[in-house]
Amino acid sequence: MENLFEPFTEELEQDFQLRQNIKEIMTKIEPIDRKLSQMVQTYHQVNSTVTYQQLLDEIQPLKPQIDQLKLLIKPVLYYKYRDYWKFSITQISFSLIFSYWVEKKTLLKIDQVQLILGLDENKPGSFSLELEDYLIALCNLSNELSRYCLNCVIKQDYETPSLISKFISDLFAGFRLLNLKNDIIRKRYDSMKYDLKRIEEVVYDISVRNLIKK
Amino acid sequence: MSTNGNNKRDDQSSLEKGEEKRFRPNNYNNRNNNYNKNENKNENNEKESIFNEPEIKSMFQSFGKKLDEDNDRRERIVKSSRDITIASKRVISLLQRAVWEDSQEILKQSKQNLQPIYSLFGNIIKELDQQEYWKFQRAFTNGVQEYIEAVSFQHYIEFGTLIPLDSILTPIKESLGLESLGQFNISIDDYALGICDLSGELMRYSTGCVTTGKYDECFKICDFIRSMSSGFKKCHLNKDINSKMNTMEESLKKIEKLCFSIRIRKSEFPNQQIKVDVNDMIE
Repeated sequence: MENLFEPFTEELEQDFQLRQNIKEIMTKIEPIDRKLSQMVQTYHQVNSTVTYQQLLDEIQPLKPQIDQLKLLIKPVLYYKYRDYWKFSITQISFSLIFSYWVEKKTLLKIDQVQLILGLDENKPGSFSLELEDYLIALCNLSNELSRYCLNCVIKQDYETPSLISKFISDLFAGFRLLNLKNDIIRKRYDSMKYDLKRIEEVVYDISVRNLIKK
Repeated sequence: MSTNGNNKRDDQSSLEKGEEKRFRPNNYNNRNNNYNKNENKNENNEKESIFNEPEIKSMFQSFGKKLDEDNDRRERIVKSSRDITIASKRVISLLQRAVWEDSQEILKQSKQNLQPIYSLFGNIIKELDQQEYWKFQRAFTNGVQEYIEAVSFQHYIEFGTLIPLDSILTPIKESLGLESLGQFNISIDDYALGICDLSGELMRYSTGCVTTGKYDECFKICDFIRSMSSGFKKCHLNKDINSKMNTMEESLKKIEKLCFSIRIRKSEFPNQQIKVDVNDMIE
């Protein structure tokens, strides 16, 4: 009996150590995530000077940390420990996607995000941006853009709201193509229609007042 | 213009119907006919062309395909896992009878009843081919734990020892005729959780032992669970195992109480069959 527990003791100890190490790396990733979130908030201000490039500069320290995680964790175990970084990676992806859209008015694709974050293409045994996380980031995007839409009007930018409206309705139509289970994405997607409604109301308000240039 | 447009639409839909008819025979018995439904939905969208940006549409179509694949796979694994749980529970309740009946006969039958479980494991192993083990681990962990509980119980009744992890995996390999289990494995966590559950079964089993007068067996079980629990005590346990450990300690206390009563009453009437009201002692 004693020696049956030996490999057992060892493996559980290793698991514990690994979790500690991951947590430590996360304490270095989380500030980046907070910094980016804060930058996204400044986009809403009237005289915001944030640029997408600035966000890219901010995430430079992220790559070495992700490389550390890759070194630390055996590829087979990525999924076991994924919960540790899932939230931060989603949040960082969202910040990038938001900033990219505001600047370029197009969507930052999943493989582009992966490239920027130094993650690999999604296949077994790779450290990648999960589709689930990307979709959540898109839900966050819709929510943030619905707020940004109002603030555009405050800034007397009457062009952007229509673009947002078109884009979010595309995004919403895209989500409709998915067979979602009763999970978190489904819940977030369900709230997306309220974002869309808010955006459409803004577009309505500015168009009845002839504020959109024809 | 508008009539033209209508005609076009009619043409298209009739074409679609034709296509659907041609598709039917092939896909009629296909398990994955979800995909077909999807495609139809997409075609409808194309007609309405609600997308300003066609690229977004194709992107989401590929997402949809991937999500469906994963969800279907997970669903199939969950189903196998549930079947494993059911079959394992039956083996366990069969093994509980070993104390009342001919234990050799019961063991023979339980080994037979384990056979269908192996092919269910075969299904899971097949589904995990080229996939990530931990991505789907939650889908089959319950079945695996229940199975471990069943085989470790069987092993205890047969040999009176704790089953090593290898002895759990080997019969699966052998009965499926596989060299390796591919991506599939039994994680140390599942093993731990499974043998924690074993203590509960042994507690029930020991009450049967008392009623049938096999007192020695009770003391043996008591020692066994005690050394198992102290083995766990040394390990750095995670949350899941820790909560099951508490249950295990509860079982241990109950058995200790049982053994205590046996000693006390036996000392009064050493040569007599004692009558112990099991329910009285357990709670």
